Amino acid sequence: GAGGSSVARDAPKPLGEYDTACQELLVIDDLLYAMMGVEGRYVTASRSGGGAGGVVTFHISEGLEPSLRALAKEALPLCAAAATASDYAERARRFESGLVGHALAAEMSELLHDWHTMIVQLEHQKNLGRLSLQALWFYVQPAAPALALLARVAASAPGLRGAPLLNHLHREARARAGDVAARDLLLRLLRAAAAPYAKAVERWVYEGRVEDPYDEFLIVERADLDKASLSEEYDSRYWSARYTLREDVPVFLGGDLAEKVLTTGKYLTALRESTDGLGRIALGADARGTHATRINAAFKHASNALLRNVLIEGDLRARLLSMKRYFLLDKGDFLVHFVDIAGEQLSKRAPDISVDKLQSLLELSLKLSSASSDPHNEDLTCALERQGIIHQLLSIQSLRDDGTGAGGVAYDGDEAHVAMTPKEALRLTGFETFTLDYEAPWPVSLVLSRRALTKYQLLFRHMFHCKHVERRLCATWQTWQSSATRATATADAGSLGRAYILSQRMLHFLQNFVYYLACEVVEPNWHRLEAKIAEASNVDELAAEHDAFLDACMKEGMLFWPTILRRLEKIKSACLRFADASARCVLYTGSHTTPSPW
Amino acid sequence: LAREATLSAEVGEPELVRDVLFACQGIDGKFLKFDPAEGAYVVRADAPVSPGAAVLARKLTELGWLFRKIRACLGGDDADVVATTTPASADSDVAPPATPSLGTLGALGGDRGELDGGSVRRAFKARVQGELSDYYRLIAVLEAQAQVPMAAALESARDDSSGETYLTLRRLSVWLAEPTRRLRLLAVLVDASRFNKGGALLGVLHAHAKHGDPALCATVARLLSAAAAPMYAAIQNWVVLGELDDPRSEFFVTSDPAVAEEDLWRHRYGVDDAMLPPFITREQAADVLRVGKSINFLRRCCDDDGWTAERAPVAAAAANAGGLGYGNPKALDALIAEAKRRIDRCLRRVLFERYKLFEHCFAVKRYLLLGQGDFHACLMDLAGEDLAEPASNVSAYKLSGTLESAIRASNAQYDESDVLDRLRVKMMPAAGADEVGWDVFSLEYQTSAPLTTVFTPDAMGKYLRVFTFLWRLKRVEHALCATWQTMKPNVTAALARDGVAGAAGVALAEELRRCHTLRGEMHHFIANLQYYVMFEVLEGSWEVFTREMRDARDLDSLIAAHERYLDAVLQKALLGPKSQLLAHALSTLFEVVLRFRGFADRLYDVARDAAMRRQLARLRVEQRAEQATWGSLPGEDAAGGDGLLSEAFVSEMREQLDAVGADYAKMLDGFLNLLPLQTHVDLKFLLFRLDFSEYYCKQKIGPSPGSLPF
Repeated sequence: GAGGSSVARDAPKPLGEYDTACQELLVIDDLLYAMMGVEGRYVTASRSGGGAGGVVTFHISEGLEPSLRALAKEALPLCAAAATASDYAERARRFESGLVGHALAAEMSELLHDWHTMIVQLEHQKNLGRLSLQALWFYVQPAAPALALLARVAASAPGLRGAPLLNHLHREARARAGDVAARDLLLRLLRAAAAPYAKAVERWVYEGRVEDPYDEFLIVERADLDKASLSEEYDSRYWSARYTLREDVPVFLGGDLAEKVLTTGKYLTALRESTDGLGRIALGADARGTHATRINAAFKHASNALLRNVLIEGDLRARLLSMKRYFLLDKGDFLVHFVDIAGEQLSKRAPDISVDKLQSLLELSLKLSSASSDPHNEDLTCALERQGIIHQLLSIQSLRDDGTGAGGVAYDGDEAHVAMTPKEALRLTGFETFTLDYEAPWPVSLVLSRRALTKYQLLFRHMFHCKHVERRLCATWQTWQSSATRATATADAGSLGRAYILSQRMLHFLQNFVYYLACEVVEPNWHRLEAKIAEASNVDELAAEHDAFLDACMKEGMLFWPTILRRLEKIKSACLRFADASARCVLYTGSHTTPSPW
Repeated sequence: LAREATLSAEVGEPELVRDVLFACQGIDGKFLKFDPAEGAYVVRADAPVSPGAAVLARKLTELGWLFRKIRACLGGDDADVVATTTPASADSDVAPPATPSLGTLGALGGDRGELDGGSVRRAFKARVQGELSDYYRLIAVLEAQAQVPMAAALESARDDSSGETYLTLRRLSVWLAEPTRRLRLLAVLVDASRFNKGGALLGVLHAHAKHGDPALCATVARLLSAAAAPMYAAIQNWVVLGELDDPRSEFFVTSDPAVAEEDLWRHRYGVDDAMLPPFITREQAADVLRVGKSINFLRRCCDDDGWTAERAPVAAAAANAGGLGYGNPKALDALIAEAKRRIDRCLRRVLFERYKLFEHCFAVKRYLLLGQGDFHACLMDLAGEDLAEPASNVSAYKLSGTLESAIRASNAQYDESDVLDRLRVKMMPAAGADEVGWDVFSLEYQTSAPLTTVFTPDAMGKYLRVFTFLWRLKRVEHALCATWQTMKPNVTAALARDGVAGAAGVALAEELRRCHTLRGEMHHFIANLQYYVMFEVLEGSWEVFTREMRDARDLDSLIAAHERYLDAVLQKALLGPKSQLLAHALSTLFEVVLRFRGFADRLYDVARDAAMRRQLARLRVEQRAEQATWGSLPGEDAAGGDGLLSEAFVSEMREQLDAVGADYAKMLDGFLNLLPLQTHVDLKFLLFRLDFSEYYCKQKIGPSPGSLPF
């Protein structure tokens, strides 16, 4: 900066005592010093604002011939500008101004070096005795706007770092679009300052690594989020919040480019975590073209790689098929088998059921049914929910933010029922609370996240319970069938006949409902999903399609429609009551009519 | 005249320029002197120069201050300064750390304190000297220009535009701007790295490389690549030759020569995090460590020189990738990958083919983990009697003989003699006076040199614990089976048929039945426990272990797999530290079973005795009947059948049976209650199998279903 001399010196002879020519030489000499940011005898500096950040202004001492004085005064702002610029260039080298700041400072010192070189040439002219104040003024003219611009940047840059600094430079350049020289200068600064930024972006886009010692680049990493949460929490934020964009995005990454950069790196990190060491893309520096095309290329590469990883190494299709097989009862033979052997357990009150036993029975039935050919059947487990299906739906609904379209259905304002009463817990049997669970390994858990699994579970519970009621009715029908034929001759044929007809009607309803669920809800949506999976170009699309599939199934399966659902529950409970009553009745009548009904 | 006047003020400038140049080399001049109080060069107050010139001169002499600082930090001895100012080394841009230049020799001889600097520090210093010599060259050029009087230069410049150059302070400031920045950086680096050495020094340098200024980065990179050269040389040496020459402990691989050869793999070498430069990742460091370790392991422990042939391609891999060095991480990657691939292949070949690691693991499983069932049954039969003696009377020598005959009597005889020779009897020190041979007997599998890296004493201790447990389990099962043999159903049937007459007889038959039930119950428990341990624990873990062993690329993962296997077995077999209560419950349960055995033997002895007498009596009766005399004589019944079987005896037996049964039920209840608490092991199937028919559940033994977490 313009350091003040601490050495006490004799006060200089006032300018007025020299003649004009001498005055001119002295002032030129001092001006040359001032242009380098150094105080001279007659040109002095003062700092306003105090401290290191103040604005420097230069003054000429009195006594100068007025015309010379006017000329010299013209040059003073230039000196101030040079001082400001070099001040910034020195200060921004410190570590806290960030890599972008460093790069800008380095470029600025480069420009100032040119300026100093010019001063030295002027000095040479002066020493040759060829430099007049007028000539000096003439020679510095071309540099003046550039210096002013530098000073302007230097004055506004402190406090800015990273993307805001780049954007500031960009704005300045755009504002001077007409002034070619100024724009070029600003673009030169911008290019230099953006170099570290571009390097960091490249590292992220090609290697999926965040290297950001000064906390200024595009991607913010939150290392505390763990990918295990994907398969554990319904509202896992891992995929959406582990890496995010910083608030300020540089203009050259505007539009959806920044978003693309983020996704590319995210895919790469996902890849790296699934297959260690293979996440790196061999897309070296030889890639030409604008950064947009390069980013696009990297994006394509990364998304394809991750997609391949999920689809092929993760075996997503087979896993989705097994999800459909188990949760949507695609091939239900394992379930028939399971209910046959576990029916007794399941009919108990929910707290009395041993999950371990159910698990072993489930495994048994998986091994014995057509599911044994499924390579992923080991990942299937079972669990018991603690709430009825409607309550679970409601509590999830309250979790869900209002933005997601599926949640747009209005509920009847009975939020009071969300909390389950202990009575409710006692009422529920295993058939109401039994559900399957699935452990999806990384990276398949990106698609089969806890969120998706919960939806599968809801669908499963829905269908499972319908199936269960249908099964009970079938059994009832069988008993009525046998006793009806037997009882036609007896007196109570009329009432028995009515019961028989009722069982027929109930059965008709439920079978059609189950048919609707299986053939008109799940199948068409599944076909749509399969087509979409074939088309999907990246994992996010895949997950979105899958989510849409589940939402469609739930919606068409009336799970988003609590009024209907509640009514359905009532129908089913009526059916179950009827089945219970008939079982008792048949037992009773059976003991009268025939000694051994079965 | 006017020019004269202005120039008169400047009369001191040429002197000042020369003084600045002197100051830049740390030498006091005529007007400029170093002022220790201010820590800077100060222009003498009476110097005939303008204040602008004085300020500029002061600014320029920052360089001198920096220069002094750097030199002070570098050791300050003039020897190396002089040495590096010679043109020969001034021109060398790349500091050759391998060939000791005069400068480093000077440093060696100059200052003893600098001796602990080590090779990295020396390389760094040499490079800093190199940077300084560039600077000296510049100063020399400037000095030459300063000799040119300004007037003469101006004269010639006036004649033709390309005259000789001369120096003014302003010119100097343009010339010196860049060196000032560079020297400032050097000063910072030298200062920051002052008390560091080796990898730590590289770390400090690397931290300064994270700067946005490309020129600055380039300088740091230049310094780093020079300073890192010894580090890379050490890596190469270690990875290719397995040699560690690091007297100043600068390298991130450390070696402890005090560690014995047997422990070489585990404890001899390590990674010193403090010396790990940040541009080498932890994974790379671990790989580097392992490769060198493997080379040493092969050479020293396995006596194998297969690596010698592999050296050249490994070294070539790094060279092909552009040679090791800072700024070329690919070469290190290539070197590590190639070395890893080759050394791991070598090591696997030696371990599995020459030292038959897999065969030994399998043998240990068969002999120590009771995989070879017929052999252990044989051994138990043969040694059973000896082992029932008090521990102090059991002779290990005799048991070795028994072991031999057990081997010969079983399928173990077809095993390789190398394996069989390693199998020994080991008697543990008896803990109490009442211990019998069973409690102290154990088998041991002796392994030799390279295999001890896998089968460490610690691992063998774990095997021993599992063996003791299994042996005990087997013994209990053996005892129960033996009891069954004594109480074979036909004994009971015979008793029932021949009738132990009288109330006492009927009561005895009832006790025998109960005894039988209790045995069945115990056997159910022991059999299921044994099933669980043998199949779910041992076989499952072995399956995992063989898979991991097949997939393990290097010895570390092999050892880790083996340890995981052992720990899994220990933990799942309920021998882990978290299962101590359970293990205790189990051992008391075993004791109850063994007590039951003694009791049952006694009971049946008596019963058989009674039955025998009865039969004898009947025979006598029949004999007499045949001889047509009185079949039974008065008083004989009492003497033959019921005489021994007093009511009192039967009731005593009943009490004892009740006690044993109650103890068993209590212990079982305790055990079953503890089982679900073992949350770290998946025991639900054991629990489930033990109570498959929910018999215990109905008896209110074991955990109630409601209390189970679900």
